[in-house]
Amino acid sequence: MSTKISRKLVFKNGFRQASAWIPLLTLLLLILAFSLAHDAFLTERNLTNLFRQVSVNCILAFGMTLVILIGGIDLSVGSVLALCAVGAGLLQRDGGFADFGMMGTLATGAAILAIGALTGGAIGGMVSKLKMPAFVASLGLFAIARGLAHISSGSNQITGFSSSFRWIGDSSLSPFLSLILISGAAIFAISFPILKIARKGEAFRSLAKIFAILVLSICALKIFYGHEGIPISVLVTAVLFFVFYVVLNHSVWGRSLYALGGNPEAARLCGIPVERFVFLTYVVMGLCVGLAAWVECGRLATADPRGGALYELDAIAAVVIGGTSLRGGVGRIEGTLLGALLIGTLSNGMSLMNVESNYQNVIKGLIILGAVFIDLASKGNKE
Amino acid sequence: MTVLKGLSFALSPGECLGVVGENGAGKSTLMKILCGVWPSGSFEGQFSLLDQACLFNSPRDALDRGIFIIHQELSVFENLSLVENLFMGRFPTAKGVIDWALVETKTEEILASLSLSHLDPKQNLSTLRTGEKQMVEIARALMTEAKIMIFDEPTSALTEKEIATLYRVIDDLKKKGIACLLISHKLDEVRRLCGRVIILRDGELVAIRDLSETTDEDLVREMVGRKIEDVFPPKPPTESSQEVVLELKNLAYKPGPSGRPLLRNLNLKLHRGEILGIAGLMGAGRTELVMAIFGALKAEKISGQVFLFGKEVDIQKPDDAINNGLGLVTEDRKLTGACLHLSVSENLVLPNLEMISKLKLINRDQESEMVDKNILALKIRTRGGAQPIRTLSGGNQQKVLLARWLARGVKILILDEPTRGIDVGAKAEIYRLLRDLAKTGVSILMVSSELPEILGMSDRVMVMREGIFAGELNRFEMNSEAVIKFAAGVG
Repeated sequence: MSTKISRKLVFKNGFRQASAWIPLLTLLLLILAFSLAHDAFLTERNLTNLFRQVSVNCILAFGMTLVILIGGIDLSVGSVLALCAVGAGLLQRDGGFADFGMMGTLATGAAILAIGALTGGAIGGMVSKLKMPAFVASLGLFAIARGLAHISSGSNQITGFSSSFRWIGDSSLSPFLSLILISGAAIFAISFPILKIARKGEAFRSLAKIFAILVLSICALKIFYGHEGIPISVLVTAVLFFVFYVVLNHSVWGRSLYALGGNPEAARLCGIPVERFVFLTYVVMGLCVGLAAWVECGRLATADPRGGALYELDAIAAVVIGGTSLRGGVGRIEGTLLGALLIGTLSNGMSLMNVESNYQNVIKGLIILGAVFIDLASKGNKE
Repeated sequence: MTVLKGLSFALSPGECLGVVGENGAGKSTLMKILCGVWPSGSFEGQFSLLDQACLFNSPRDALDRGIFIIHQELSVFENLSLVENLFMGRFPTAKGVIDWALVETKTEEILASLSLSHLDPKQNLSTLRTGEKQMVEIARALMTEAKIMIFDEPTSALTEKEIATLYRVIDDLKKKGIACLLISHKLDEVRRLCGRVIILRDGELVAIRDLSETTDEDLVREMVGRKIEDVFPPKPPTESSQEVVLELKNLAYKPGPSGRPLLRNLNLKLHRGEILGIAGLMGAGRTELVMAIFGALKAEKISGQVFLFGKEVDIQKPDDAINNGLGLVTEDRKLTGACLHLSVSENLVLPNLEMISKLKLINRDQESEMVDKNILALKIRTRGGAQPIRTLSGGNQQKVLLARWLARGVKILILDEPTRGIDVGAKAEIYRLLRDLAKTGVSILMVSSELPEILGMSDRVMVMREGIFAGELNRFEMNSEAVIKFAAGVG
């Protein structure tokens, strides 16, 4: 009996460890397949474009990672993004903020973030104070925000954003600045594994990390220095990723989120203000939606009350593919980044190859189901 | 890991066989095998019922063969009515719809036979006392065609009167030729109901004894495998200090959803370096009391003051309690204690994050220093702080939860069932640890359902019944009869 169980366990553990690599392997395979299938895929131009397309979903998915980590969900993301965009559009066009230069841009930016934070706060309040299921609370906001977006815009697209407001979504750093930035970031990142080798001598893992960082920076240099520089939206996404990484891995807040996501009662009894953290998490999600709306407005130069449809699904899919458990308490922001890149690559590649969008949806859906299946299978059915 | 080995015994119709042994002796594993929770094939050896081998794949199979178990932890539907609980899954039907007339007569019959006629069949089960719920569960079993009934600590939540009824029911079962297995800690109960008793220790069959030929002392020695003095460290020769560290005055809480008073008129003094045992039946309000002290009781406070080290404090939430130097280890390690999805280290530092962080950023070096120090001090058997806590044994998980508070240097430690589901060796270690802590001046409030633990560890015992303190016993007055008397409310 004992041998049987242990062999099963070894297999399970092996599978569990391997399953963490599946998104990365899938991404690499996709890149390989698309670059073989279409000459245009691996060009600097297309890859810059890909990163720009992916940044909105990344920003949403980072926020969604926190929400799912605490065992919640936010279905309102796409509608709220449209509401934020319309709100900013009205301020810019009808409020005349477009003519106030930098001040107008900052004021509109503050407003767009505030709309996001308010809706997030509304969901967070309903979930933490009124104990509503997040699914229902955010479903309510999903409908309300979409309705408000249509009412306030008269169901028309809004144009007339100032160029400084659009900067975040449609501009790039100069190639030279990009070169400096990428090199700086690479040196900063490499210093950690080097320090680790010096202190503890965990050579193999640290060397692997150094190698990975070098490969990634060279790719980044090739793509961005070789073309038009780093898009501002990609830069914003990278900074946000860094902030979320530090929060989740090194801060009291992040540690508390992991604890309360898996066992809120135990966390409460350890003195963690569970309600406040749940509320704040939804506010952060809302801020991410506001930021994503800003980037989207900048990129498209219009605010569309019909925009953002099904964005919540892409965000949730990125989180789930990245290995974050829908049961809460388990997950990593790196996984979410991978998941978002995977979905983005898939869309980009299939569009290049002229796959019809309905087929794209079917394939995306299958990949999401596969990711959840792997998540469940690797954890095994306890009891 | 082997939790049971070399076990064989026979049970004849109409016999009530006792099963005794300490927690972790393998009693519940044995029950799980008999009632199909562990499917056949997951263990070696076999058993048969009426000369037919039992190869169960699920609890359903065991039920179909007539093996019924009354669990210690109740498995009733709190949100449904009494009658729905009785008939769940087997409502009698006529022409496809439920035959309510038949249901009504059958319900009356069964309730009368258990002296439960005062209950309304339409009553929601959440409005019943714990003991009454247990009787409902027994009623449910009686309605089946059981051949073997397994009782797992059936009287731990019952009053004297209900216990008498249960004894009568079991006598009736025996007369009908139904075989019973009785798992119990109470030797007098085993003597009253059983002729023979199986003694288990550390997963092994120690002996099968005829009770008429065995004394209680022999039984205890065979159960424990060592003398009581080896399990419980000696109590200090002198009375504990008179300095009061925690005092409750007139604490009372509004009724919970079931409409029963939760806590009434509670006064308590905890001294420096004292281990104060809180005894009582299941549902007497002991857990509610410690949750109330810790600011974690979800109920409305009516009155009462709490004094810590002579100063009145207002504890609204667990955070306040922790900041005032309290620590709580809850009764349910898996549900409210450990974060099972996290590592040993993450669990250990959870209430202490502010001690190892600066500007809200955690210092990993300080974290591993705190963790390593406490793993060593409490002899926690783990590969290191990064090991997932769910892979540790129950005893070691419990030590991690204790270490949480020791790492803070708490002055008052509140423990709710500190050794539930832990093997004897780990128990003895935890007892020694608690005694050493008390010696250094830490005061311990210990809720326990295990009489030996209450008697072996407490410097003083307070007994609760239905939300009040029914009695207090000092170290010279305390013995099992006195505690049970106060707990059950007789005399």
